[in-house]
Amino acid sequence: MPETTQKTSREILKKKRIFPPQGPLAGFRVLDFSQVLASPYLGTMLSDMGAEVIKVEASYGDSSRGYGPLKEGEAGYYITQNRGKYGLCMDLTNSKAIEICKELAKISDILIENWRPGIMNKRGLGYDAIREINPGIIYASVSGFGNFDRYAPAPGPYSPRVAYDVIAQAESGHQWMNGFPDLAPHGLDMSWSDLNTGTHEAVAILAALIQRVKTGRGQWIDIALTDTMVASNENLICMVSMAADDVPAPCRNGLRRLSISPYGVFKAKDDYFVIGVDNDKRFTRLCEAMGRPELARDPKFDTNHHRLQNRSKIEGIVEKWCGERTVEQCVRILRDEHAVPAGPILTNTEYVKHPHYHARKMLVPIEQPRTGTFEINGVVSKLSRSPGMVQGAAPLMGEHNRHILKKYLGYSDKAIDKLYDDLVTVDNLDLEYAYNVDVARAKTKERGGKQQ
Amino acid sequence: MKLRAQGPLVGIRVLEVCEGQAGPYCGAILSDLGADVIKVESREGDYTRKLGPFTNGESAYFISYNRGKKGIALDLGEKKAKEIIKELAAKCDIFIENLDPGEIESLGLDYKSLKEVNPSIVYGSVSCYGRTGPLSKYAGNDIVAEAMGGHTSSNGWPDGPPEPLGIALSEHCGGAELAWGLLCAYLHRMFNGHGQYVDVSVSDKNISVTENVLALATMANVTRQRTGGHHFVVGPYGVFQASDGAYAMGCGNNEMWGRIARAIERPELQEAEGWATNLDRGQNRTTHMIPLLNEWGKDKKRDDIVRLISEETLVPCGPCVTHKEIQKNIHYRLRETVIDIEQPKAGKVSVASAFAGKMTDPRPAIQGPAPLLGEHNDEILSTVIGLSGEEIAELYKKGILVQDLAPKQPI
Repeated sequence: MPETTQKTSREILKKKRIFPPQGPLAGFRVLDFSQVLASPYLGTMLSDMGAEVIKVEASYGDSSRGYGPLKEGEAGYYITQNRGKYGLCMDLTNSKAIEICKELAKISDILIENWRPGIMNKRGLGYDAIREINPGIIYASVSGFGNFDRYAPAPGPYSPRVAYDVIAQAESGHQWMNGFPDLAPHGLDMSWSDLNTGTHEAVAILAALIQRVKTGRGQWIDIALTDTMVASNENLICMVSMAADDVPAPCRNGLRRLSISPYGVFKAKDDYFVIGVDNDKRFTRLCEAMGRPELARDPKFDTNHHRLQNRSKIEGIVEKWCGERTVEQCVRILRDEHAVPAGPILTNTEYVKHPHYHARKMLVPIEQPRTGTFEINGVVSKLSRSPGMVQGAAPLMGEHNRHILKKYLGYSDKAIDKLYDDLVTVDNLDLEYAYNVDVARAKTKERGGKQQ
Repeated sequence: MKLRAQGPLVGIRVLEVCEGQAGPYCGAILSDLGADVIKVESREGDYTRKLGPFTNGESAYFISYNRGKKGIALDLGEKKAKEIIKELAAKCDIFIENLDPGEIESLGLDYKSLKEVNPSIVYGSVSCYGRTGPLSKYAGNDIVAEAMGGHTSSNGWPDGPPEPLGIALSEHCGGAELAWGLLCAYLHRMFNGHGQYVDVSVSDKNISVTENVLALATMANVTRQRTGGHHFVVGPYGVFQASDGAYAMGCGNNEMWGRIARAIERPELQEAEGWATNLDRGQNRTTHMIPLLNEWGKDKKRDDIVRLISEETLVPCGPCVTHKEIQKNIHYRLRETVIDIEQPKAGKVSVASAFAGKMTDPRPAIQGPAPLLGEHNDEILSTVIGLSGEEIAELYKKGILVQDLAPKQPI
């Protein structure tokens, strides 16, 4: 593979890339003012199910266009969260650009955004402004602690605070539970708050869409990273409400989950793997698998309650059994032969080769204009009759400017040329490199565009 | 106890044959959004009824995942019980199950069987591996799905073992994914009249919530390492220690770092070699950055540090709170993310909303408490399939209907 193709993107993009929508949301249009992770992931879920998603980027591009892995200047991070979308790139400080956004909002069903609360209002694209021109719109905002302007459904005292994913993990109790009890807690392996929130927001949008089909009414959905993560707390909120104030708070428990046993990471002869025994039936099968059926009837271990009381004893027995076998043997005996949940701990380079994920079409080829073809995550919800699909590649910056303005707003080529001349629309298709934050910024500056 | 439905899904009836987490969590989301959710249990009940802690025999675990639902309990070994569930399914819009492989077929409640009695039913399964593919024959749960999906291997410290996530996050994320898939299918039904089958695998969801990790493997063949939850590139971005707890901060650029360096009274570090750039700080994370901040914080209180960093440096920062703090937190109360409900036996307890979004019209809300075993048997059978009082009494007499309104605590 050569270092760069030495061709501009415009030369590579010989034919227009238009996606024929497939899936239950075909026919719905989404205007996507999202950046980085939570809302872009949501936009991709909508696109996977057939919605036509128009991603509107500010003139300097979504900052995740600079996040690795980078190949030929295209970013794996951006592609994962934005495949299957049309790309429109404009200087959002320009009033003509805002006018275009509003014209598009008028003919869209859904608008999603995750700018800091207040920014969309400042641009004239807040819920008030949009519902005036399109009362049926479903307007979905993602933020750290919730929105707080006058139409916001549930403002709280923290709402003005800025939060990244790592803060949402902290303030929802997830970090407190992550790590070893005698060491400090640590962050989760990745940005779960963003991705979990994107998923919950997708549910909310569909519920609102179902209601809109019945009533014609649109609405504002406000979702906060912190709320989603608090909602995803198993039994812990209820647990502490039952306990007296002087009972110690539930705390992280290292390799094993706090309230179930034996459940967690165990060490075999050659490596770590996992066992998940969450009920008595499975415990009985575990005992049989270890050749110790009598343990299932032992009053020290017969219920989860008793196993927790004698946790070190029972987990010690399991640890010893595992330590005498390889991961492969343990998994075969437990999972394959005794229906006990167990499995190896796979890394990303291992799971992308696993035949199971390939059989489930969870790794599907995607062809990016500059990067070429590689595998990306497929559609999770498998619908039997109207399945979704990865609709296409992620857009280059401003790739569909012309297509969108012509098709939806009826602009002529001449009018679009003028938008380019007036620095309203931006693309970087004439670069021999897909994207570079510094190049884009310098270019904006050079043309007199304002940094936003 | 009576439930009060409110939200965009009012009028949609859901039948749930689930135990544990992902399936019941999906049911709880649909209930929060206003759907009428009927939970079917066996004679023994959902196994989470036996997971502690308990108050007057009611389990915090069961309450958390099943509030706002109606409960019916039957002896699932009886043929008549299976027929009753089928009759209920005929009157429902959505059916969800998360049983072990083969179990739903042995109950005669698989999609093919239910489609015969209700062609437009939207049928959802959520499981560890999904219902197709070479691993689909095996039982699993969140701990396995997280391991198979690359999360366990990347959770923890570079020099320590792989750690499970402290909370079964993937069951929540997978449950929400099922709710999404079901509502997509339901919307399709509104336009076309067809029902369909929705198959969700928690492992699939886990490799899909990937950020850039999957692309890292397929584009660059790079294996993701553990970082203790610290950001790969920028820093300080992660969790740090205080004298009485821990806090998280997210410093995204060099300017922010300059402000932090001044706040911790080490202004020279803004420009110092090995500290000045994000790349430096990322590389020196474990050897320099984390020790520096932990040393600085060891005689300071968590909340003082959070105030100092947030107010003086404007770098996003927050305390690693405990669940007790969340339960009492005014912000979460005002947003109705945490609310109190009245359980029949346990009395007043707090729960989190399963559906986290806030909507303007109408507002979703927790419908009410979790059912005791078989609490709504009579109501469900009379209102949904029109059984008479005598017929219901007969079912109790034959032991087909089960009820336990005075649960005992395991000892």
